[in-house]
Amino acid sequence: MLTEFIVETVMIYAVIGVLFAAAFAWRGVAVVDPVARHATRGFRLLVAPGAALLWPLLMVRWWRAAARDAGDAAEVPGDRTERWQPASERLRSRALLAWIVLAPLVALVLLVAIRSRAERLPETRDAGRLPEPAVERSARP
Amino acid sequence: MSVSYQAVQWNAAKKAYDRRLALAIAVYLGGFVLAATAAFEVSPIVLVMRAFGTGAVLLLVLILSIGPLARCTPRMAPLLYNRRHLGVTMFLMALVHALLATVWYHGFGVLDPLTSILSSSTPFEGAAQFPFQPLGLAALVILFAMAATSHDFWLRNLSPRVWKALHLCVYLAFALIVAHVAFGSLQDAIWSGYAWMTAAGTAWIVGIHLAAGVKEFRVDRRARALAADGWVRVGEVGEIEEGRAKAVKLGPARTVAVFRHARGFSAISGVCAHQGGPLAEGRIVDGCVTCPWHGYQYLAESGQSPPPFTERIPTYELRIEGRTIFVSPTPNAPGTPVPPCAAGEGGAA
Repeated sequence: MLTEFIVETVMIYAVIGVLFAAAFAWRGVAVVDPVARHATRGFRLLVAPGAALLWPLLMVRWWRAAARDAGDAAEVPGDRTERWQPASERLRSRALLAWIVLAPLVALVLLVAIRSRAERLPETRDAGRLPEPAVERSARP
Repeated sequence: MSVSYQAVQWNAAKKAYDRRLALAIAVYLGGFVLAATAAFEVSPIVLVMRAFGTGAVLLLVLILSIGPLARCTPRMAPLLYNRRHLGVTMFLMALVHALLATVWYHGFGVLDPLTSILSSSTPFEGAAQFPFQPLGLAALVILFAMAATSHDFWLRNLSPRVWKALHLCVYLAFALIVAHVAFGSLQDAIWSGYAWMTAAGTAWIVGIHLAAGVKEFRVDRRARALAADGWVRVGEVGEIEEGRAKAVKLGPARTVAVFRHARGFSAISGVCAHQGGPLAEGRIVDGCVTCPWHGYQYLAESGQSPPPFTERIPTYELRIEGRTIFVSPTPNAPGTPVPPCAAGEGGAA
């Protein structure tokens, strides 16, 4: 029941995302970011998957950008540099923290898996655990 | 580095890089299928599925090795330069693996494929029955988010902080993939070397990242002690080669790159405005400081990209006392010109 609800929600999100991405790649991208006004078709195609994924965020950005005066200058990356440097270095120190947390978890997973494999080795056969494909199953008498 | 967006900013070096990458992948996939066909009696589609799966894992191990190793040897710089293409290629290989597995194992049942993957019909009695496929699916979603937002458009529009945080999720994806492999194919593989290869690859990635992180932490701690009395000692004049730089930490959140060039010494932020690349590991090319990650360029005296580009990074004041270089701990506004400090001056520039 829960699984079906999750799957249905994901499917609805994805369908809206795909429709939005087509509109965003065609018109919205240049409204949100003026640098993209003369962008190539290849660029618009590359942006589409991300737009399908992040459509709620981009929908808000598009709406805000459209409401803004046309003469407003867009922020250039250089203006963000001062924020970039401390953020970048802080994230680097958080990466160490992430590995300190992940390292024992990953080690535990591997130990449990290798031990489990050793215990059931006599009964192991290649491709034995996954259900056999329906095509082959239906072909059997 | 561009004033407008393009699909892919190819140049001769990147094209050569991508050709080699495509050739290496073709050789690996062909070699895997040929070798596995001789060794196992498994259907061709399963072999192709495994070839793409193992190829994606190997590529991920390579990608995650590049960052820490590039801090130890400049030989890794060419791989670092085009890591984004490696990442997108790895996602595409993982996607092919996932599509083949979904069609083969879940494509012809009563349930729709996604529901079938997420609902485990096998009673959970131990590690061997752990539902490993949702782990792989979760990793694939993360890899998709990263590949879909890899273009500079997303870096600019999501903000560097959010973009970088999103792309650090690759560590979580790696952990999920290890669990996917450990509870999945590892349980059924007859060849015991497969288990040891998985363990060795995981230990390698975890080990080099912990080692690199601890090294950074020690440098940060030492920098805080140095910065306590105002201007910070960079080192002796002779320590920096022509066209190269020395990195100096001014605290846990600031790195300065002190470059030696034809006109003397200049100090700029050590973090590239593009993706936060380590500028001190770059070099002077065509009179400009060049980032080792993606080739973004800055003038050493002003921290500005050469026209028509608009990127700007902070600059720092330098002074040379005797043969020792000192840097001011206070950054100038991005793009502020600072006259270079010559070695023979012996005083403040």
